[in-house]
Amino acid sequence: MRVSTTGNGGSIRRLAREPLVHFVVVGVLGFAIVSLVAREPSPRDPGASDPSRARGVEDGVRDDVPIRVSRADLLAFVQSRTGQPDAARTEHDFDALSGAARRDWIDRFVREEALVREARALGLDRDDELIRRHLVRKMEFLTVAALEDALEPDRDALATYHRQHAESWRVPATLTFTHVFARERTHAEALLARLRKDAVAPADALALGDRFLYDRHYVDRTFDEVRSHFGEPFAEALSQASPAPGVDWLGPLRSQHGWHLVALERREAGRLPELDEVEGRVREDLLRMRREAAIDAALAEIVDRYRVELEPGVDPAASLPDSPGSAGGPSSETPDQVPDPDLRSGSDESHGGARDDARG
Amino acid sequence: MARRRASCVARFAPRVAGLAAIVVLATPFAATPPPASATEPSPPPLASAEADEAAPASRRLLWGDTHLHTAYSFDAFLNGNRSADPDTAYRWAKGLPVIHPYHRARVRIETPLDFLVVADHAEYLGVIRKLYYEVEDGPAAAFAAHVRQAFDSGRGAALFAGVLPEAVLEPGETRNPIEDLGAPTALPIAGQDEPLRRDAWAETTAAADRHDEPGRFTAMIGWEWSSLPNGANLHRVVMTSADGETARRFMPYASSDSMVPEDLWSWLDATSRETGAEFVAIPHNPNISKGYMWAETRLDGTPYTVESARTRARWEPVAEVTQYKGDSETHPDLSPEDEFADFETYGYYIQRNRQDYLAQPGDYARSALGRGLEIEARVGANPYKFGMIGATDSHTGLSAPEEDNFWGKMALDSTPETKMKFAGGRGATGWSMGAQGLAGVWAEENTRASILAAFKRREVYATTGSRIRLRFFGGWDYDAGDVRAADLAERGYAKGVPMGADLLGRPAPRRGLGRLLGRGGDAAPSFLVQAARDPKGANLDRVQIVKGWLDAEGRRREQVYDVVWSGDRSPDASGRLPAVGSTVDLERGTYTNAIGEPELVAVWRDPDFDPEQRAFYYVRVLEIPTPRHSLLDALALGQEPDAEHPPTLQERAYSSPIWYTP
Repeated sequence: MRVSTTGNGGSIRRLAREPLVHFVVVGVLGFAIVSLVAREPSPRDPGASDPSRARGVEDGVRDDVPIRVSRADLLAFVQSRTGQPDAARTEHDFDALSGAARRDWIDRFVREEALVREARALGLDRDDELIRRHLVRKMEFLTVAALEDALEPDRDALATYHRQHAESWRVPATLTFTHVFARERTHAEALLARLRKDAVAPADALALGDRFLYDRHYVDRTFDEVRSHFGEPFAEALSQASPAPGVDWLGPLRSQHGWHLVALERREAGRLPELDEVEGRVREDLLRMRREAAIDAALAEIVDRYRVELEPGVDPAASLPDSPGSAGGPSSETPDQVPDPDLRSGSDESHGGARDDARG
Repeated sequence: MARRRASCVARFAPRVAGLAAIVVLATPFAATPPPASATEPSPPPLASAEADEAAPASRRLLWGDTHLHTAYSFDAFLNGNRSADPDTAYRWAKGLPVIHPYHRARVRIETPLDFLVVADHAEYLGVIRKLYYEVEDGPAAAFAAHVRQAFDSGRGAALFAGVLPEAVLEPGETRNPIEDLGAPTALPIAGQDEPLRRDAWAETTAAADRHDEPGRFTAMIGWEWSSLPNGANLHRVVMTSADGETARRFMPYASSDSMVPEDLWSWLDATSRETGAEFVAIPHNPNISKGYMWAETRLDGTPYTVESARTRARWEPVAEVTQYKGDSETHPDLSPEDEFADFETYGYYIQRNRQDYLAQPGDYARSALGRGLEIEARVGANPYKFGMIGATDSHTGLSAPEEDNFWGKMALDSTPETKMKFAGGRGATGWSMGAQGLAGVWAEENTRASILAAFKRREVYATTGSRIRLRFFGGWDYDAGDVRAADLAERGYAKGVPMGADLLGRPAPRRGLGRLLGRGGDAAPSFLVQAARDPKGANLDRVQIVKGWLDAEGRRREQVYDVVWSGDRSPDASGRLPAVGSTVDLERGTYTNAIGEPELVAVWRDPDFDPEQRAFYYVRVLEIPTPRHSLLDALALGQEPDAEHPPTLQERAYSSPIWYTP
């Protein structure tokens, strides 16, 4: 999920420009949620604005009623999220998934359940399936809104991020050259002699030689483009040659098209630009990264307050039952499902995270 | 691979069976002897390096997409694109890896673009996305709840369908499509969505400014005006060279402001005067306009006048003639003699009810260019004097015309399995979509101003996604030496005009052999064309010139000439050049460049020229066959290729025309 901050009148507004905290702790999150919810009281949910009721959220692990993941519930969840009308088909498709993918679905199920309970604890609940989903989204939304200001990086943070991810803003190496093309080597050699003898400037050489199918004058082109026009050996040769602004003709260099006499004017090495040059992009990338990480962390924090029990039939690590369509496959016996004792650590590897909702 | 000798002759297929099978037209008045050795004449002196930079021959070829939708478009969002925003779109275009909005895999363009126009629908711009994610209270809250309910219960696409028109006109009718609109199509948030639209416009224009890097990558600001009365697609993409600050002084003009194209142009005129922003409007999908895009008359049925024809030509110098929803160069029903006319033909109107498709002259570029000549002959100005480009109209935020890297029209139809089920156009599937196209632009530099200027002078061309390089010049004196010359482009500009322009001057009486070339002793125009294959792609099959003209009775005529081709093929007795063949391995989805040529170059002189007849000429370049995306999907799925679409295609390029006016 991405929430934009550049609007000039959206419902998300930056409350303060100064970053007070960079990492989200449970208490801050809880408080932020409560205070934001309190600003949007719903007449039918008086409890939502009651801090005493909401304060219970911060109490830590809620293991009084574990989140039970039954196979039936999980399949129903998968079916509703994929829009697959056929339950049997859903089951078949689900069982065909990799362990990681099934674990992802379990994580999504657990996360939704945890968020729903959390929202209910905040008094947002109403007994309605759509409201239930809405609650999840609202929790995510409020979480992001609460985090937004804390995410704004200062100059130090930008500098650190810029240093650590310098490759992300690399300016690619480029070449600037003019070439004279000849299909035959002998023609190329005769041309080269003349170019050197008369010290022909690149701009005056455009009418010499044979017609070339692409450009004759290349300005600040990437090696990828040069390779695609002339092939790898030619690009490699130019990556080694010394640029000589003015009059110095190299060659003949061979390509798949024929022979080339090259005036290499400039070769810009690929470089890592200073922060000042790319600050806007660094900030945008860091914000994007922080936002996603913060959402994942905040939601994981909520999920972690719940103890999760997997019922038989939902273990992602279990071997696949035979798919109905595959003839002659392995035995269709399904071994007993062993609950994964370490689901929580597994959830950290989940990449579904807060962006689950964006799965069409 | 056989390399074609530099063609010093122009070849063409005769127009009528019965003429000699091949006419080899030796150019008898070659002005420049072909350079044969190093002892060649000195080149003409060049004034200075700066002058050379400004010379038209130094224009470089830029590649871009003028028509890309993101999650800010209501239909993109409702069809599963909830995450690919303008930032995602620019990052993809620049070659960075991004997350696909539907299946969430990391994806990346094979060759980055030079420019991109994020052109989201002006109608409900960013609104559905904001309703879904952000709106919790206020006057739009009820509808926001409805949107969430629809989306969360898997009925987002149904909500989109509810906005589509219910056509009451039958295809073929010509009355004003706006008079009787049938069922209402607006979402019930009239007046409440304006603050959301304003925010979205501010965000998307700011994103364009952030990503615009003059000289390296151009982010043009734009939007789509989506007029669709009675299912007649009158859509235009509007783009401007203005920056975000200027663009935020206005709101993008929407079909809710008016469905009438004249009103759009009036607004462009007024806004241009008021803010200094320059605009170009680009019609697209004329193929599903029910004959209205390039009709005989204006939309309200009144005839064109000099003024109204010029107004249209001023604002619409270029049309998008090939994109995901089909190709609009011509249709087999309109060009029955053209064996290549049935290419990515798409016949599904954008509307709720189903009507059988009917191809009409107002729907396709070739017939429309001819119709422009007719109107010009009648009223004195040509409203349909347009150049041609391709674009994608992708709604995934990913401009993906690369055939083997195509990611669907909508987010929902981005995987082989969901392509099968997707019913985007009342019967169309994801395989009905073509992975196309691109705009090739000959521009001084990679900047907003330079690109907009190239569009205005129509020095742009269309491809179906392949990066075929194409130069096309028209004049009276091109000859064999120009074909071989290293400075082909300099000669092209020096002796004539490039694609998109009018032939300069009139034919002069010629002596000697020139007399044989045209009627009444007048010379015929000559055309210099250079086509080179996509540096990473397939070889070329042939270069054709499409001529359209008005005959002595004022009727619209057309003819396709094969001008230069690969291999040792000769036209048969009927003038038809045999097919190039195919190297596609249908079991593996691969091809090789064992056939075709990397480059085809020729000078061609019109053998049927009549100086009294208005005419236009444009180039069509065909690649050798390559695998279509539907074949790759079928192989991945382990099933037979979808029977409705050919497993291979010949990617192509269409130049903008060059016009001749007596």
